[in-house]
Amino acid sequence: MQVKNLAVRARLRSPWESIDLGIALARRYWWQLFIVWLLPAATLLTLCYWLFPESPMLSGLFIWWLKPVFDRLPLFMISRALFGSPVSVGTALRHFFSPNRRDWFLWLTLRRLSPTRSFDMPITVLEQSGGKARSSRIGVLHRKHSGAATWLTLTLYHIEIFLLAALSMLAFLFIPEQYAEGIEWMPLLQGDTLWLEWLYNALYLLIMAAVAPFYIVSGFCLYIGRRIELEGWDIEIQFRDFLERQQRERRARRRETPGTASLILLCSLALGTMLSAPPPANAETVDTPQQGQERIDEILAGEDFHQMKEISGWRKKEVDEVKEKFPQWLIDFIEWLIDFIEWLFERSPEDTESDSDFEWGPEIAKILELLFWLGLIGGLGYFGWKHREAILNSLQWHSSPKEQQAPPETLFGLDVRQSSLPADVCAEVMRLWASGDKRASLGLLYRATLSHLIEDFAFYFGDHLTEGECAQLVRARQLETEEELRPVSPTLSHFVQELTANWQQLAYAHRPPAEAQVSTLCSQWQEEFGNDR
Amino acid sequence: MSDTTLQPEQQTTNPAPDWQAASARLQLLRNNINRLLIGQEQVVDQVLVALLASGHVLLEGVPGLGKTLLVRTLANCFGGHFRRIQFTPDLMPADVTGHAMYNMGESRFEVRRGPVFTNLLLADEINRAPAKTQAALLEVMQEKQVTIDGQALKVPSPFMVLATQNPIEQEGTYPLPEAELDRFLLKVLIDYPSLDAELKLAAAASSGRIERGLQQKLAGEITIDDLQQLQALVLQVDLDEQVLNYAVRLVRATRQSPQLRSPAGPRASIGLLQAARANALLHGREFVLPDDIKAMAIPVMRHRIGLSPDMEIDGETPDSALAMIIDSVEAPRL
Repeated sequence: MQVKNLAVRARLRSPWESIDLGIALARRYWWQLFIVWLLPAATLLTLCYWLFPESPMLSGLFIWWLKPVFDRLPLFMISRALFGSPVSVGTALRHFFSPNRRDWFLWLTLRRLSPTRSFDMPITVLEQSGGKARSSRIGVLHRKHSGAATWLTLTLYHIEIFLLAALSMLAFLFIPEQYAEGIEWMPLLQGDTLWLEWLYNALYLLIMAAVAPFYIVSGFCLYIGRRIELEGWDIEIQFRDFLERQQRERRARRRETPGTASLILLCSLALGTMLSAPPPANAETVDTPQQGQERIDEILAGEDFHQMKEISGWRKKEVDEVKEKFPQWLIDFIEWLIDFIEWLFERSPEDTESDSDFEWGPEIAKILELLFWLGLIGGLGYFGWKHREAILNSLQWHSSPKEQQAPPETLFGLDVRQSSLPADVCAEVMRLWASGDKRASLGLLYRATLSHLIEDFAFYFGDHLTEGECAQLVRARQLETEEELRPVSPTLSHFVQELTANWQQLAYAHRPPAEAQVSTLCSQWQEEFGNDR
Repeated sequence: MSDTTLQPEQQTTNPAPDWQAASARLQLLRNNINRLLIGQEQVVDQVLVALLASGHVLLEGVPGLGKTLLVRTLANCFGGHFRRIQFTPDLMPADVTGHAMYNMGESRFEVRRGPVFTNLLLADEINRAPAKTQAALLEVMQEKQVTIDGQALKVPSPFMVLATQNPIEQEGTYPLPEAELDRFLLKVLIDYPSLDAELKLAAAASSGRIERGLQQKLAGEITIDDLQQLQALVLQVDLDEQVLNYAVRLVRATRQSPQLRSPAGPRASIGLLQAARANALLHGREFVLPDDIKAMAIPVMRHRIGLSPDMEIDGETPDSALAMIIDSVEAPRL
């Protein structure tokens, strides 16, 4: 099972999204899964019909009971298809017994009525775990998606029943009215007609085979979704892509400048470590790996790693209960509130004597007003707390400094560091032009321009951008300058457009510009970037 | 880095083409259409690209965005013939292509040519007709001929099919088969115009200016011969080997993407190059840039790919999937 070959996009999905995906995938592979489920089951039902023709009900129950056995082959097929190595129906049928070897007895006894069968089955069939390993795995997987898996079982079981009822009704509707009136229902309902029961068995078998792909694939997608969440497959795939890109660039660089290859790898590893590692612990710095190893050994030999404690006897599980303490201000506030209410209802002896004079209306209104203000303050507080991140972001987004990205060292397959350029770019350009290597000459000028745009103006030119798009980015910066980025002057923008147009003419139309044009471009380049070096 | 330019052989034998004049003529054509079809500049450009590349166009947009007006204007601008077929569920193949009928007076069969014998054919709501009738267009779109009663009849040149379909109403429609979709060079999406454009459009349409514009001859109108010359000129647009390589890499990238159920085939590569050449000519260049390839990649491939179920569930469209794929392919390098 190679995560990189996953045929669906590895991303975090809610259980319902996973089931949606499962239904969509099941529709796509429905025929194959239907056949591999149906053929073994139909063979067994035929055998039952031949061996026990008098016991259709038991035979039907037997087939139904063996569902976990028939479910394994479609699961095997869909797992192979999802990881980029699909198998044909014939091949899958030839492997009927291999997925069914493990744990079959438990699946047909204790776990037969498990409501999360399709979700748990991949652990047996694909991970091939059993015993304690399986239990602990189930425990981890069930923490989130088991509810959806149970609902999936319940829903599809009901769909099976509805389909059976609907097909029975459909068959009944086809019976002409004059015959329908003469049907004796009691023998049919009491199960005295064997042929009808066998027909029902066959019909139910077809329905089970039709619904099974949706059940199995949805459960499998729930399982995949949970693993993506637990094991971070999405992150793993991104890292793999990152590594592949780095390796590709390293190969390209090796062809160009072998000396810098190790530097890129080092940078990529450093970047990878930065992305994946928790915030640095700021440990003591060590100079050599030997010193580091000694320091590790020293820590491991310390007291923290050699504390032993023996505990025996039954006791309650120690759970770190977080006892929420009410803050003092809240207690004070409630006390004040109680005092206030008491004061509100406090009446003088004269009042108690003359109850008839006491007016309830204003008192109740006061309480209502108090409750209203409390509700409003509480509501605002709750709203502020719930959306605190958005509010903080909206307040701080101006001040949060944007992380500076390190300028890329290669672009368009070429080294675009300023240090890789010759000391006098224009002289080298004119020398190459005079020697007749016009493409290399203009190419050097173009590369030098890009290099300065990247390092001095912090432009980011992705691998997929064409020369024209790079020029457009420069123009866009000239028209709309962002605050934190260095602005582009109209002359620089004009120079980049002109150089790009000349370069495109030479590169794609094989029409070099006139020598005068090149020297003009060189002098413009000198004006724009000559003082930067 | 390559110095190889792929140029057709006829360039060596023919006199050097007048690119300036061709560009000026195309600009005039484009301006004439844009004057009548207001606010759809991109659509006009893409349809002109298809016309120059001798391809067919599948137009998708809600009713009332000027699809018929576009075809009428186009036909008007180069003096071609225009016909329209309203596809309905009971439309028969013979209603499209024509049929042989027995003439009792002369005691012989005579061929009655269908509406496909025209320069511009508007197949309105093509997905309302069943597959049998849709398939009647296959031969004429690919071979530019119709076989009636065993007799192959050529359709006039230039010939272009502009088929429309409605993206909203899917009830009672028959999705176009992939073989037929593949025969459309471009799928063009028509969207609502901007506020300014709609203001101009409403004023122009309500005053009858658009209808008058359609009736009268346009200044600088090009003839069918001019159009055929322009179509021939498209084949002479220079194509660098790096650009060719980029186009093929883009199409092949759809085959490596697990997010697609069905990727684009080799016909997409061919179509992409044709469209890119025409786009270069339309923009006054006699050579193709990687930008031409990139600009045409989505209209050429959006109807030739099928999204995988999970992309559909995630609400992705062919355009967004293709944009992701295009961003993963390196542009040509120095």
